[in-house]
Amino acid sequence: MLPKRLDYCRIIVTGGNLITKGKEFKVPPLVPVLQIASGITNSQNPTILITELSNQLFNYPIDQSQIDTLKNILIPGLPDFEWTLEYSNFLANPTDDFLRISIESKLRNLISVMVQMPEFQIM
Amino acid sequence: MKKTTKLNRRDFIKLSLIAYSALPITLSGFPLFVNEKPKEYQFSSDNENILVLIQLQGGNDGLNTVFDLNQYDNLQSVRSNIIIPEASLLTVTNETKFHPSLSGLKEIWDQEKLSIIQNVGYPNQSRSHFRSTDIWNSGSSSKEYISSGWIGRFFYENHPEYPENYPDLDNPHPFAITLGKVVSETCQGTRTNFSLALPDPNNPGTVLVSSTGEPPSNCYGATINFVNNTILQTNAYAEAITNASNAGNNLSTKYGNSNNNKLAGKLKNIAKLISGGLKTKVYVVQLGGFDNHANQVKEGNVTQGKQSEQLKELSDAIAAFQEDLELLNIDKKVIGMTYSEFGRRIRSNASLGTDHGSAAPLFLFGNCAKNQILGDAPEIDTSVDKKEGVQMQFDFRNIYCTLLTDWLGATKQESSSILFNEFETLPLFKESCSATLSNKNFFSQKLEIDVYPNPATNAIHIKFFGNKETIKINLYNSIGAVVKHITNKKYNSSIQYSIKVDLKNLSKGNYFIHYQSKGISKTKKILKY
Repeated sequence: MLPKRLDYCRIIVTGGNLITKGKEFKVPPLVPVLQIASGITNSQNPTILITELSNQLFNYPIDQSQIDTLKNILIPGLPDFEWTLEYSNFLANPTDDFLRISIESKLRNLISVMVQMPEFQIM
Repeated sequence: MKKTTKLNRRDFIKLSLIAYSALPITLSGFPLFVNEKPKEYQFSSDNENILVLIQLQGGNDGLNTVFDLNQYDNLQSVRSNIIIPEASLLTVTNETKFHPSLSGLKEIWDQEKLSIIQNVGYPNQSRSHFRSTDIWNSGSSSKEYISSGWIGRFFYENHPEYPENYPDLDNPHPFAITLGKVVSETCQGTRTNFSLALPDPNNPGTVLVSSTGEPPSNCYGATINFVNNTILQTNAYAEAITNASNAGNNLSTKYGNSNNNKLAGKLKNIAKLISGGLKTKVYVVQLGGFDNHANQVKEGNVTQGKQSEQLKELSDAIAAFQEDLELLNIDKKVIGMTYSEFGRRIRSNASLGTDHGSAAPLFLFGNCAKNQILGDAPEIDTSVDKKEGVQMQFDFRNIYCTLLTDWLGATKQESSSILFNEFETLPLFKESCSATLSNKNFFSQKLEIDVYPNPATNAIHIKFFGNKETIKINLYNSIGAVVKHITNKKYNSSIQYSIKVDLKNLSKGNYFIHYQSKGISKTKKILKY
């Protein structure tokens, strides 16, 4: 059951094909990640963004190594300021669809991992 | 301060349902899912070739990686604060030199197992890390958004049902493996990701972020541990991986610091798994830290610095991996390729760094890689403007197409469906190797194209000969955007044609004519003043 459950959590964030009882459903990405991020003050700072998301999703704070690992999912191999630049650029150009989709997919990657973490599952 | 409300799982799902009703508006106009394609063809089942992708995250500075002595003086005048002194460079050929950190890659060149492909990029280069990485990983043009990856679509062609009822007897091993905690987007299929994230082959599992942390020693921590362990036990491929890891071996002593988070450690694990009999076709590894806007080089000693360290890690790890493959006698079926989302600008900045640019060289290594420098050295001119990048000569999809057909065994038709367009293959592989050679005649033609006057004020004339093939000529500006489509049609053989291109409405500066036809791809620089 657990893999199915994790898969379900991932799919509602990233979208995908959900199979239940032999039937397959195409699920669009449901979680409004841009809206969630915009509700966080100073979400241009990736550390604040991740810490605040974990405060919302989990019961207890996560540790620094988890924050670093999650940051590497949000901005793999990049310095923190690149999130600040790209996210601010998106906020300044909300009608640029390519910018929006790129930001959105980074947030979906991040949040889909967070909702599969045991910290979320045992809530 | 904004008030942050706590979301529990129920709220979270509720929020998602609200979002669902707004979805058609937010997604309008963009195909977030690639249409499913009918399964019409089969891959050649006897293809045992393996591809290792090394993604250099952040945009590697190609101009400070591969040097051409004919351009060196000009390059020095526009990057005097960061350029590596000529005396420190490693010799590849009379003209071509390497950054001093690339001694490992130079060894592979000396063993004739390295292809250097110059000026790889794509039309209308994006200089956003996110967007450009999406473009490279999805294998799509910069004018569309595709949520699947090129490797994922390759597997999807023949395994549209994955992951339901996999692994099975015919496919007992993972299709692809990303060495690390997160699956690579290159492997994202239409339905699901075809790669398995594997930080440690000795502990295969669906490893999550929480296992990096130290759970507290209380009831909460115990519950976290329980869920973690349960997740670890649920990897369908765990047994196959453990078996390969136990049966596999490493014979090279060159790996150096090879913990599982280092590139060397990741490549070492790949060699071990392959030697242990794992049939996984594609492995993806990542090396971050190439985004060096500042301190790319060390003040006072430019051969040291951040890029130097990254290149050394890359080159040493590849050299150890290549030696290991040879000692293990599995080198004939493995090819590796590096790629990065963009190169850097030609001019360095004042902080001893470089900013986001356009095209860059990439490396293909392995027993079957043709030892060559494909393409021309980037032409550097001392009056280059601040934002100018290296102009593209090859589209990265020419390389993907070649890897798909010549290495991974896809048909031309499959490759065109995976890459959404037809791309010409390049001569990347040696003869009598386990690769197919679909294009032996690249660059067999001499380019006869005249562009005049140059510099120009109002117009230029382009004179060229027809060759019965489609000729595509585009005009690019200095940041890699297409400013004019000049022609894209077939021209009769042996007749000289002339096209006048109006430049009146263009601002002053450098432009590039990109000429492409069967067997040839060239750029020519022009100046409008």
